[in-house]
Order: sequence, then C-alpha cells, then structure tokens
Amino acid sequence: MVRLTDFVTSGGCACKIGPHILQRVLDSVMPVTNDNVLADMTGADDAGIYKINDTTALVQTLDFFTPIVDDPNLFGKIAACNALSDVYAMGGTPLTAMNIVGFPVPLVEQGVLTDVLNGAASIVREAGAAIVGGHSIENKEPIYGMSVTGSVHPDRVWKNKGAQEGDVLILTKPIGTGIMSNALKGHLFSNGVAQAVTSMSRLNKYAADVARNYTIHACTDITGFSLVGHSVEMAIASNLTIHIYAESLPLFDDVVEGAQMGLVPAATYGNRKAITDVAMSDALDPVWSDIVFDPQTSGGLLLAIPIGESDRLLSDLHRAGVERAAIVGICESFSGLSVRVTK
Amino acid sequence: MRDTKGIIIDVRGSLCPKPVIETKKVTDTNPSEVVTTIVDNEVSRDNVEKFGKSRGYGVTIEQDGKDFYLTMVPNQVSVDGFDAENLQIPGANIGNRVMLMTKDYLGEGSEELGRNLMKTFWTCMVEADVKPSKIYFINSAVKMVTNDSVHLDSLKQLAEFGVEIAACGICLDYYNVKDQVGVGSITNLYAITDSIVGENLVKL
Repeated sequence: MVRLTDFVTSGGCACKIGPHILQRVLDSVMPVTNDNVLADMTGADDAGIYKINDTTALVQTLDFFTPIVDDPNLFGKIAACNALSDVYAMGGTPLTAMNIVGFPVPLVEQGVLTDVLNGAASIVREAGAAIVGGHSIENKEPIYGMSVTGSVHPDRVWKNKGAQEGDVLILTKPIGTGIMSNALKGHLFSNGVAQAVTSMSRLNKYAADVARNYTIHACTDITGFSLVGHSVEMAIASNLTIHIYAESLPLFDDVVEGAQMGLVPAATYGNRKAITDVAMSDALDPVWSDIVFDPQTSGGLLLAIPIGESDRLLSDLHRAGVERAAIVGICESFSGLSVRVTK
Repeated sequence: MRDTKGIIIDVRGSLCPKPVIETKKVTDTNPSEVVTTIVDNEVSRDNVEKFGKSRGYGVTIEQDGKDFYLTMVPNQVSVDGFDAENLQIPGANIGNRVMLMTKDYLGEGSEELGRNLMKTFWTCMVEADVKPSKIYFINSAVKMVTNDSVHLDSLKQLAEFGVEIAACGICLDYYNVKDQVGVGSITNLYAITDSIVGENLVKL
C-alpha cells in the first residue's frame, strides 16, 4: 500500500508559501482589472468575483496542494472540498470544476491518481457541480487540486468586508488540521486524526446553505493562513477589531496535547511571523498560539452575523449536521490591532 | 562537531514532524536516558523543545553554526555540566507510582460506602509520606476533578505537592463536564496507555 504522505515534506494547506514572502511578490506585480471585477486579491477575498450582468456574477477560485493523508481517495475528497470551499465562502454556488494534477509517473501507473480523481469526483457530484476538464504534468511530489467556477448574485456576495461592530462570529468546523496532519505522519493521536480527516472531507455547502437564510455581513473560510490570519483579513477589510475567545474554539480531540508535544507545522511559525496585527492575552497558555496560528486545510466558514440572529443560525447549523459549529468571537470597534485573542 | 551527551539523534536535514517523532521513539524506549537531538532549523528546535518539556525533561539548547543541540535530561538524572536550574525536580516525597482511578468510589460493594471511603482516601493521600507521581482519572473517576467535587481540595493539595493530575478528555466529554475541570490537566488514552505500560501502576 502506497503511503502518500511519505512523498511530501508538508501536506495540505501547510505547504503554502509564507504570506510575508508572497505579499512582497504581489506588491511588485502590475494589477490587471476592470469595472466588472467585484472582488480580487486586493481585498484578500477567498475567490475572484466577476459581474456578468445585474443578476449573475462568476465566482472563480483554485487550490491545490500535496497529500495530507495516505489514502488517495480521501486525499481527492479533501482537495475537492478545500477547492470548492472558496465558492461557498463567497456565498456562491459551484457550477464547474477542473482537475489540476502534478504526479510522479510510477504512482499514476499504480492507479493512485485514478483513486484521487474518483475521490474528488464524488465530492464534486455531492456539491451539484460538473467536472469539465483539467491539466496534468509529471512532478516528483504528487500535487492535486481543482479550479472551480461558481455563480452568485452580485448583491449577495459574502466578502471579508462588511462585518459590523457587535456582530457575532460563528466558526463552522473545529481547528487543528495542521497539528493533526503531523500527528498522522507520526502515527499518533488516532482519535483527533480521525476527526480531522472526517472534517476536512466535509463540504462547506451544508453550512453555507443554512447561512444563506440569515443576514451574513461577512464570511471567509479558514485555510492556510490560520484562524488568526483570516480573521485579520476580515478585520482589516471591515475596519474593526475581531475578538476571539480561545477557550470557546471548537477543537479536534488531542489538538492541545499534540501542540504541547511539538507537532506544530512549520507553516504555523511562518504564520506567526507574518501576522503581527494581533494581540494574544498574557493570561493565555502559550499552547493557544500554536492553535490559533495552525494552518487549516479545508477548514470551516467564519461568519459575521448580527447578534440577534446568531443563536438561531447556530442551532440551525447544528440541526443541519454542522454539529461542531460554535460562537468563537465578536466584532468590536477598532482598538489599534485587528485581532485580540483572550481566554 | 561538539561534545554531546547521552543518546544522539541526528535529524539534521529533516523537517517537522520527523525530529519530534524520532526523538519520541528514542525517549519512549529509553525513558531514563539523557538524549541529545541535533536539528538544523528553528522550527524543529522549537518543536523538539516543546516535546522534551511536555515529557518532563530538562531541555538545554546550544547552537553550533546552523545546528542546534538539544540536550534533554529526564527528571531524576543529573549530568555533568548540565545547568541544574533548568531541571524540573519533583517534590522530595514523590514516589514513582502511577495511579489509575477508574471510578468515583472506592472498592466494590456499596457505592455509598465507596464514596465516603474515597473522601477519606484522598485526605490520607495528602498526608502520605510518599505520594504517587501521577494520578490518572478515567470513566466516572473524572467526576472527582470537577469544580463541584467533594475531593477537589484534596486533589488540589496533591497537585501543589507536584503530583501530576490528569483526566481523560473523552470521559469528561461523555459525562459532559469538560468545562468544569477544577484541578489538573486533560489528557488522552494515548498518554495514559503510554504511562501504564511503562510505569509502576496502581489501579483503583
């Protein structure tokens, strides 16, 4: 049996180029845009939005990474969920997907790629979208992902911008996939690993479908830049301070123990270095820093919603099977830093 | 190459989590040995340090060019040239026994009697000359570490003596009391199993 994660140095969204390095590059590249672009990378949004007419806009995104689990079918599912997630995070509905493949030929010959693509296909079908093509190259490390196109009403786009003072923040999946993928490589913490794998192969569709019935002021999905990183993006775009309550965060089992024993991905250190617009309370155990900066793969949605609707949304989410959704913070008037994390 | 102490684990060239995993393998099979792990990046340095501390080792770090030498000394061992201040020295009256509490009453028969016995048991334990090094709580025993437990004061005193108190997270979840833990830490069956297999266990 092939162990996919043996082929890679860092898996899933933990293999991202550090945001501080990336920003320097993007800052020196000429922007290309026009009036139909409703969202692009300048607002740090999850996907690009392009207005076709008054009732339809395209949502476009892509994501790919190295294997985060050993089972090829499961890797395909996780990669597809992760790629589709950006469409849901913008309030959109996925329409089409295309495969992005870089694979070592021996693995292709062993049927590994077939299993990956079948796993991904099952998720795209669950999402109600179609696979319309793809592109593949030969590569030493296996890489897989998807580009996804969706649609959204131009007036109902969920952006990072728009969260308001007093809004409650709901996170729809537990935190800790980075720590748990290191645990998986070390054959440790099978409980937490199993929970993380289940969570990563879960579409954010169900959470988004429920949330569409509510007043969503802002939304993002939590991926490689960590809970704090994506919260900073929402806070800056919305011009306020996001206050996260660490002890109310939903976590996979064993995440705290895993962080304490040093199963902390390199990307966590990269995130912490890059994201300085945050204050961690002195009263917090240092382990929380390794958790809130943990890079997530196929993480949950972070939804900003008026406080009067938050409890109803939360119970609706739980009823729809998004059972680990939790209130994790509130939006406050800007107090000098984008994110505060306290007990 | 500088002087190194104990068992050497050279994981230069490896990225996380391998340095932690390799260090764990060696410390698991040689729990009372001094171990030196050599890494060549800061992430591995910090992660191996976390690992060592989480397992109760005194950890010293020396840098040699790009390389970091992490010397990890188990609690009860002292080493020439090792900075004793960094050692976590257990209380003088902490023995090497590990206790596994499996229910919230003592003995078989009447549970009511068992609950009263348990109270007396903890009071005596606080007074005992030699205390266990760790006490693990599983199944209904986890109720003893919660805020409204009648045993909380005794267990807090034991914790202050340096006895490690840890309750099983899944069990706390099952009894729906995870947010009411009043003493010690939350652990998992993995850590408990590790301890049970390797140590001098008393099950109650």
